[in-house]
Amino acid sequence: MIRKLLVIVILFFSAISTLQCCAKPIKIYLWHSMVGQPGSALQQIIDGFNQSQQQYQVIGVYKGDYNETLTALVAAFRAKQEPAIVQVFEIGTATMMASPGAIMPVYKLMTQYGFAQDLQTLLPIIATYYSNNSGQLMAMPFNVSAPVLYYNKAAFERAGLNPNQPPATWPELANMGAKLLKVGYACAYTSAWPAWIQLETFSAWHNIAFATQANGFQGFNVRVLYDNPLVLYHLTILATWQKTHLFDYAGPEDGAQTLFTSGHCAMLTQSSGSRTDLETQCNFPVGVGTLPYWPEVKGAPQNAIIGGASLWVMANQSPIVYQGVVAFFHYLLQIKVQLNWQQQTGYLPLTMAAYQTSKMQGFYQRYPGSEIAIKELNNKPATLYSKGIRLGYFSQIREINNTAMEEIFSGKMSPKQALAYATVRANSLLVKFATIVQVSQQ
Amino acid sequence: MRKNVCFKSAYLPYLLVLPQIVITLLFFIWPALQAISESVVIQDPFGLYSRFVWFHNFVTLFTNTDYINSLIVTLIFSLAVTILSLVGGLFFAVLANRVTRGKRIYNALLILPYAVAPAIAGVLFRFLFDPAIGIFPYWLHYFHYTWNFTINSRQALFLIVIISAWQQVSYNFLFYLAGLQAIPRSLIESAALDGAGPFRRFWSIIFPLLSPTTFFLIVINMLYAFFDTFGIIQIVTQGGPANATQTLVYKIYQDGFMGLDFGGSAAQSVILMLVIIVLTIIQFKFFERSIEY
Repeated sequence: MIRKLLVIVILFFSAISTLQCCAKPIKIYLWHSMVGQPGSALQQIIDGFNQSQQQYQVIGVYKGDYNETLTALVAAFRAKQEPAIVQVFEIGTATMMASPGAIMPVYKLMTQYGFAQDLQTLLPIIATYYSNNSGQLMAMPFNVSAPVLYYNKAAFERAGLNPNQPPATWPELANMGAKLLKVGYACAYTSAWPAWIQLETFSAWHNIAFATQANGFQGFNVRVLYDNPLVLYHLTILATWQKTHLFDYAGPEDGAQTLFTSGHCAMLTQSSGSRTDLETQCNFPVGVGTLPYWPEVKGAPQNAIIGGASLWVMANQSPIVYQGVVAFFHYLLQIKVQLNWQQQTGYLPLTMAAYQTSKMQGFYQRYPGSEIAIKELNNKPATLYSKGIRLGYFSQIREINNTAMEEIFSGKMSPKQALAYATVRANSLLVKFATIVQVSQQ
Repeated sequence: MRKNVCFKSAYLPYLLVLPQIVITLLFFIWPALQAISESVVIQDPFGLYSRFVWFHNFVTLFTNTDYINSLIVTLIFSLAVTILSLVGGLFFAVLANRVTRGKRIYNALLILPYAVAPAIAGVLFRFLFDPAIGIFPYWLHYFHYTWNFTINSRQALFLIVIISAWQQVSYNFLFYLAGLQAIPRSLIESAALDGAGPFRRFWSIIFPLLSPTTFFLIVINMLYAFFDTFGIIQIVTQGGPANATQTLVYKIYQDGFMGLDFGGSAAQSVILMLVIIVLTIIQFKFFERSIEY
């Protein structure tokens, strides 16, 4: 009697659970750091995917800024509560790659579930950045940007400059800046994310090494090399410009953006991903130009390196979840999804096809600014020093570089001292990282 | 003098202290042990691999100028906060003690800052002192003084000292007020009859009698400056500019949670733990001696 009852109860519950399994879609969590315009654009992608099929449901969770998301991921992983997909900023790439036990490489996943051909459609410069030594894609690129020069067209007109001709080189920027100051602008030029733009991208743009081992792409035992004459020259000039407000320093993050939108500074270097935000916030027409370069450097400008973030897939998920992840990635790379994403945010299209469609539809003619970043990335075939930078503890190293910049622009250190100081500190972190990688590869 | 209280059951006393012991084990001893064990290994962020390295993490710390800088910043910061908030608390307590009408209103107003969460206080002052939109920089402009704590490291340190002290003055005020009220009026009155003026009375009678309170508050304020000011720093300066406001606790957070260097950050928290243990021992030793006056 009791046994019969037990069987009935078990049957009943298993029936309920199977019902639940089939009625409800598989949940796939995606942790991200997108707010504002990119945030709602990402939500649109997720909604679109969820509506396109019944089997899977992607749930996007905002986990704070990039650093906070990575921290949350580490904590969640240690507690075995990690999501299937997580957005990690470009400077977290080495950290993720050095933890093979924590991640599921995207190339493996896509091959396993039969979508390997999707990876062939990615723009090469983007794919390289997130590929390992053997050229296999480790993470799905997502929001890709490059720094560009924004300028206040109204200010250019007031200063008697051609509003359709931004400065191409640093000397030109200085000349135009002087004219802007003359007509009463408080500051000519400012820069968001100085460590990214004035050090990292600057080095690639002029084709000089940022770190040994081909900027960290060929191994983990790396030392930084940015204490070099060209970087020193550039920072020294910026520091002199600061005295006359030709350049204004505005903190390590994007504080510079407010200086530009409020009309205080007339030129700004900032991520191409901020284009739509800037266009809505400014009450003057905004122009976009390529990053300035030093014309006396041979072969400059080379090409810019990408910023932004990629989507990493975590290890130890169930096959059905992985299937869903692959389906989501496949959806993400579709032309119409990519076009929407690009047009709503200012981030770059990930695939060649999306780029060409966008071109054909005349999007770049209507918004010339949005093509600048792609042109910068594809300006010349990438060299060892311009395909990217991959360092362990990169987030901390960028922090160190930010500190160095602050020391320079607050006048506490000379550029020479600050660069030497940053190099010593960055290298001590890299030594530590190399030790950890050694531990993990034993 | 000691009274012995006896329980009928042998287990009851253990049962009664059990919750406290569980809490201590769970939230103090366990994390402390974990910090110690993590401080002697190097591990990857995800905790998948680790290697025992003896005191390597500690050696790295003390050969690193950043850590020394953080130590100095913490010392300057905590001393400044302690002195400022003690002087402020005592000053207001002496004044409030003399007030006869509307005493409660004064007291309530002086205690109010303590009720403000550190993060909120940080946001408030950030607005007031923001170089672009703040009212103080606007006023300072008239005196041809450029205020920009995002670049100027002295100004940044000054600002977080002011905010932290502002919050802590209320706490000190409360204790000083209670201390003042505990001083027998007869002592002060007889001194007055002997011809001692208000200042003389304060320095020769009131201040020495308050010394146990002062000592207690010094330790509490130091601990406050060490630990509870994290929210203010996080909101106002994030340790910058150029690490000028990076206190020991903030550095642990930055290295561990932002930098994912768990070994180095655990080593720092072990050192901090030792500092606090020493501080507390001094406090107890001193208390035992000085409490009887």
